[in-house]
Amino acid sequence: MSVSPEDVRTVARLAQLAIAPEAVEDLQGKMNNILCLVEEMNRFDTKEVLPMAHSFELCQRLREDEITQEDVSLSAMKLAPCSEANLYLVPWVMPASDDKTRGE
Amino acid sequence: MHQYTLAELSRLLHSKAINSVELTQHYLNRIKQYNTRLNCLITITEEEAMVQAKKADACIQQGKSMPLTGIPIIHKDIFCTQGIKTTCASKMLDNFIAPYDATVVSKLNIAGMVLLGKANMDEFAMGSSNENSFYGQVKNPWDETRVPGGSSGGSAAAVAARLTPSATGTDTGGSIRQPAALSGITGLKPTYGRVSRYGMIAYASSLDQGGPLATTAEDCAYLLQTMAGFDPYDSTSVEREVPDYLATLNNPLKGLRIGLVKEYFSEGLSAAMREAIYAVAKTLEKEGATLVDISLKRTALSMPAYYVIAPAECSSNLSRFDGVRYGYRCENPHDLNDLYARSRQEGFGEEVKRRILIGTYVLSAGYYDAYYLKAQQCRRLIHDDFQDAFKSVDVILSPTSPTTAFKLGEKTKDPISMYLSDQYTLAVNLAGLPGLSMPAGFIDNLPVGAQLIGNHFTEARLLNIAHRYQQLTNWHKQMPALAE
Repeated sequence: MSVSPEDVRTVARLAQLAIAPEAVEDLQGKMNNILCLVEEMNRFDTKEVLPMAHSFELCQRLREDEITQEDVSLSAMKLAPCSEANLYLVPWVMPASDDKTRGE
Repeated sequence: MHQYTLAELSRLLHSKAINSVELTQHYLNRIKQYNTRLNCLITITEEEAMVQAKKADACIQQGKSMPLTGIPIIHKDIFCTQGIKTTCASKMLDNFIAPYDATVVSKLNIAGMVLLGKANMDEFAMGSSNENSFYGQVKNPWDETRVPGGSSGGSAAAVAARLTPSATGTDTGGSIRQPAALSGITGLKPTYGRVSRYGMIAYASSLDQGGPLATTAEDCAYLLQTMAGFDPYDSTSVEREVPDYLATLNNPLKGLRIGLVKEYFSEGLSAAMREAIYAVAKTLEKEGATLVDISLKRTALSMPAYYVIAPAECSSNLSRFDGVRYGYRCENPHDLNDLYARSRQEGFGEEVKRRILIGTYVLSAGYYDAYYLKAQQCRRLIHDDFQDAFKSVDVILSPTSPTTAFKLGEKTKDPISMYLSDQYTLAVNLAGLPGLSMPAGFIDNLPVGAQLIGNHFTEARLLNIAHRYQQLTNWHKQMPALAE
């Protein structure tokens, strides 16, 4: 399998990366080289093999439903590039006619 | 003073022959002298270091110290350090000051270690040469035209140059062992789950593991003793007693069965590298070990499976960097999608974006089974091969990397040739095993690393073998000219 320029643009959109149009061809080549390396897996029959997500068969550890850590939301909020009244500010999702960049 | 090992420094501090303030100042002076040349450190924490050193000296005076009290350390800049910049060598986190300490950091703080600074690395731990850093490439102290390895290249180069007696690193596909090999020091990647990942910025969560880098196996044992252990904040941390790694360092090697994997010594490996590793085997054989030829017949699957699983996990983990809650935000976004896409495009480097794209592709609808599921099935085959091997041998000996340190810029244009640098280390992460790299000679004046791989939770045995080997050889005592 190989990726086309259109595939690169679609994947970039899914990955939320604003790839420049002139970078697509180079990325396509490099992605195809990696996918070509990955194709090596098809030389091995894995039909009957159980997939392994983890090196140990870990099960999710449960704990009592009680507070174990102090609330760090305020100090975390200080790291935000743009915030107000303990809320993260972002541009309008639905553009307004007169003020598209509120929050910036 | 910088030519002593961590263990020797500990003894000198506790006998009060030296104190931590003078030791710390000595290393800070060396950092000031050499960091502009080598670029090992992103942040130097001089003020914090002197405060910690004074506190350590007081503890020693009061008889309340532990073995690591007063010993300087450098943390890879992937470990969160409260109040100190934690960048992961990325523009994305250039302004990020962690609001909490990683568990590894807090354990080493409690032990009284002195933080000299945060080490340069490949951005988000993606790379094998330390050339993928927003803060510039790190140079190998043995030859400044060459790479120190990666992704923990800053940590390895700093230890090799004796700018610190110890450092932390992380290893997702070889990122402790390969730079340790290329820089001529000792590095240990513990069993997955042995060391907490809490506060260690995630690249590929099912593969990432933190560990120590130092000049000797004994020093790594001291560090692992403190770093290891169960952590309720990390759901993948394993609840299992931590053995006394120092107590077994001198155990005899008689009866030890060492596996030599025929696929690891096949064509492509230089004769000089093969000879260097066979020489290690012969040395251990003289100590009573038995050499056994074995096969890991699905070795060829390691690299393809890794380059599906690691990018897949990376694309998921790095989706949190969106320009909203912390990290880099682009200028004047015109809507929310533009904010996300441009912040990520401008904030991430080329290799990181490439891995995010591959990961997004292999997880996308229609390709998941062909790539991700298949890679997970291959992962089990790799794991099963190792488990079969460990029925007939106790440890596996191999080269850590196929070559010695390569030239800066030599492989940057071709990602695949860079990936091959980790061909002997990737499988260890896929199987969750511990692996250690130790100095094993020189080729053309550049260090060679030998890798020991053990079954799960056999770190004590690996450290024991490496320590015994280091009692018989002097490779680990060699230093680059700037450290002499």
